[in-house]
Amino acid sequence: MPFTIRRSARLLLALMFVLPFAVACDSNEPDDNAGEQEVISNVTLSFDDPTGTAPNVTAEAVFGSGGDLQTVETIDLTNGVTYDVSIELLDRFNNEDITEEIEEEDEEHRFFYRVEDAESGGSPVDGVLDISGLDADENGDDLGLTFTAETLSATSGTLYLRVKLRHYEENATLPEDKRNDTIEAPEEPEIVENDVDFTYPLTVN
Amino acid sequence: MPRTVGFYGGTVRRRTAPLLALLIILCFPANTLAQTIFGRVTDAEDGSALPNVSVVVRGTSMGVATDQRGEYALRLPSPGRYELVVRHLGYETVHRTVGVAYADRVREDVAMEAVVIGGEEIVVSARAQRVADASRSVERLDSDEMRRVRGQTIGDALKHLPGVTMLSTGPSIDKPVIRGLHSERVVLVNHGVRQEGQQWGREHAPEIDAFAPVEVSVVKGAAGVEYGAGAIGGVLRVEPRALPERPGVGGSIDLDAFTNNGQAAGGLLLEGARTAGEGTWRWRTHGSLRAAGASRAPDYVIGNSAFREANVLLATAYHRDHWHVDVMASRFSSTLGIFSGAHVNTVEAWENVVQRDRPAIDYRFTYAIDAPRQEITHDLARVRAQGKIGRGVRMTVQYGIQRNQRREFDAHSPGGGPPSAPGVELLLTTHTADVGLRSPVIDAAGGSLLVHAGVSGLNQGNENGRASYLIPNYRAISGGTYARTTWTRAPWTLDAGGRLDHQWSRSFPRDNGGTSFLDRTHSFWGGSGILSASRSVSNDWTVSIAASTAWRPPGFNELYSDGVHHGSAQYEEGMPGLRGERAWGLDATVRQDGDRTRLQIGAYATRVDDFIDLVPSGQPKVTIRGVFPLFRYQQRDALLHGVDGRFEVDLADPVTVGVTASMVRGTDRQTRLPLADLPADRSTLFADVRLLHRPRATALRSIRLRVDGHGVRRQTRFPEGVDFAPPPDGYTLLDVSLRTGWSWNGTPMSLQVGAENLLNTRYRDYLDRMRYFTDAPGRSVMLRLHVDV
Repeated sequence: MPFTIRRSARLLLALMFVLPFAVACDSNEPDDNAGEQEVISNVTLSFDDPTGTAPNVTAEAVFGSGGDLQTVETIDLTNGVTYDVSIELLDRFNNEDITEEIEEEDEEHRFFYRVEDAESGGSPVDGVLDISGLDADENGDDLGLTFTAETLSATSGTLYLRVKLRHYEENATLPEDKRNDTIEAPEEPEIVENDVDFTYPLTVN
Repeated sequence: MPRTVGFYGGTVRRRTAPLLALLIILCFPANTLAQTIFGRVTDAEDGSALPNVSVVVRGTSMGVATDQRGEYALRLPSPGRYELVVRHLGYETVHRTVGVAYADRVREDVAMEAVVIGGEEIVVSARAQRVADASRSVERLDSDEMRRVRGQTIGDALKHLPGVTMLSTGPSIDKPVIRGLHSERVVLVNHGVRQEGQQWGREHAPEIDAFAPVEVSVVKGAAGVEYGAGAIGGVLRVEPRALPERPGVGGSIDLDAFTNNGQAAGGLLLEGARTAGEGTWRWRTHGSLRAAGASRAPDYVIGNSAFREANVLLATAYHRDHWHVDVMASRFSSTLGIFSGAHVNTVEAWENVVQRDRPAIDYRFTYAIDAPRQEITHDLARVRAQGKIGRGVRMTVQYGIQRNQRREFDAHSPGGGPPSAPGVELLLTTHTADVGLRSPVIDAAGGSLLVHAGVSGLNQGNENGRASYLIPNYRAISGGTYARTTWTRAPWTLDAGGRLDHQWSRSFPRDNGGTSFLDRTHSFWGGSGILSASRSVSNDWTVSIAASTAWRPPGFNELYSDGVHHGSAQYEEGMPGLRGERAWGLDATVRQDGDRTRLQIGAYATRVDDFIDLVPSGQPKVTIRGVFPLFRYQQRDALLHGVDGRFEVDLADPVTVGVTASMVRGTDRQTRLPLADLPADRSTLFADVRLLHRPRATALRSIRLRVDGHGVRRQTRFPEGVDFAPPPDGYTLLDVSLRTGWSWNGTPMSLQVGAENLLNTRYRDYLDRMRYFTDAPGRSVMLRLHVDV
């Protein structure tokens, strides 16, 4: 009897050592497009001339899954035109339309647009683009998914259009915090966050 | 019979009884009526009698040796409490404190554990390492000590050990820093199995139940031979308390309450043993629950810092002849909130936040856990068999499986509103297998020699759920083989060993631009070694020196990070070409275990070649949320050195005072600049007063007062221009506790009332990530009840 016990015990021990390598050899290769946290990966600005005289302009900015800017198209506008502008945000990894989500929670969001003289962190430049007529949220405050932009003068060289999306969090006192907010105001971690903040190159001819 | 233990290290025993005895002897020299302690000394492994074991009353010349049946009888001149020291070559020395009444005969049986990499002999087996411990700086907290210092997390118990500090993220996340190193440079061994979780995150605490019936020890310094790749900074071992030997059923109930965060916690232990056939069957079940609300700093509530925990453990063992089989399984599960104000994602927000001296919002106390939060479960199951395979060689085979699931929820999704899916969802499944062999004791060069050898393997898979690919999916297979010899001949112990490990992995990092994945394989080899010598200089003093080397392969985050890490406001880029990291350590330890004083001081220097660190590149990185400073994982050479230790002295019979202190310095060897995130110099002064001690009284048996004053200096050595805020000021804290022991209808119980941060001091610690946003928690009054049933 002890021999059988010993033999089977040995077999068991050997099995215990070999088992883990036999059972788990799935490489864990992910399926294509499998899973990705919701991120804003593509931002597109569309400038349409309602009179149809100037060419319509779309400019897309593409970001990696880490949020890094990979490519951005220049916005080439025609002088003396009043454009209808709309912005679209997309999550290409999960194929989700972020614009829709912003519309659903419009009172928690506000877009800011401003012409600046340098990429990511310049000073404001007046007299190039007049931005007005931002669409409103359910409280009647600025949202900015659509607006009008009138080109006032041609540019020499490249300027930058800064796009900033501010998101007011649970702790924010709405709509006051949003109403009083500005493009320069810093993030307040518990109150307002920047979901989007980058610049498009801009020329007006 | 409970042992009395030292405060910061478990292995030190109190030394008051012989003084009392001496006093009594001096006062009553004519008292000749004998008191006796008698009993039998056996091998804990197989129950066989041990002859010629020395049984001595500590600090005196009173002593006897056991006879051929392992029995002894020791006559004592007077009643009192005696500390017996039971010593035998090749076995762990046992200390027992025994109370003897006038003309009493007290039975005290002792089961001795082989001192070698013994019964549970596995590379990673905790108990296995006591020989190695002899030449290293090791700090221990036994289960009684654990009960005394147990706090909200396992880290709360460890942080008072010299040389051990905590890297925190608020009140509920503590991860141990051993001599300045942490995370992937520290190995955690849980119930004999190397615990595998998402170690890389500094906001990822070890998944250990602070209530579990365990003893905890910390090996300071490189320990690659025993623990394999990763044991560069040290090892945290969580060892189960031995299962009960005597037939019957027992257990205990623990209840804790903390006022600061309204925490209630409870643990229930049931365990027993019975004879089954020719063998013994032993078992244990343990469960615990914990619920805490938001912590309070002295001036405000720390928003969203509540947490909950539920844990369960089952273990059983069967022992017959030389065979021993045991099986255990446990689950740790925790949900914890992360302070909402810490969700800072841009540089400008950081600048804004660090200028404030309190959070922007007045939070209200609540038990609710909001986003951002973490949900973690860790399941562990282990099977182990041990036995003699012939010629006196013992073999152990162990298999363990672990499943670690981590879900982290962001404050909100980009579209707004609460996140529907976690931002990070990782499932890590790990199989481990170990085979260990231990030779019998061999006579060599007038001493005794032991040889251990073994192989171990690990197979690990990481899978992302529907969440970001922060850590890519991967499969890693690693294996190692080691051999080690220990030679002892009083007063010397010499220890030498080597190990070779290999890690192969295939990983699938995201191709950042597109929506597809890359396919990468890596292969790393590494060796580890130890050479140490330990010498008993006298009865009390031991001096040890150990030289060791250990390594680790780069982590997957270090290879493939690509993005803004949560709350760090820096763009982190991995480096796929990283090499393994190698540490060379030199460690000298002096120990003294005298009649009235106990001392352990360790001095060390660790050189880490190719130290992997996140280094600022000085370049900006444009992202959708603005411009971030770009940090890259790079390798440089680092040097860490320092000193830590403790000293205790029994001033009078009931009064012990002591000090613990630690300091560590770390520099980049090329630039000579200090390393970031090293703990500031710190020390603790304590006093322990036994106000009452009546071990045989029917109601109140003991009262013990303990006062701790902790002093932490400001960290003045840090790299400039990397951090968002300078290190905070130093601070001092006062902790007081009163512990009472009772017997209620024969049921022993203890009730402890204490206060941490008694003076409600406002402070922030350099190694707490929440220091940028909030003060640390203020005063907490705690109540702890322990009842043996």
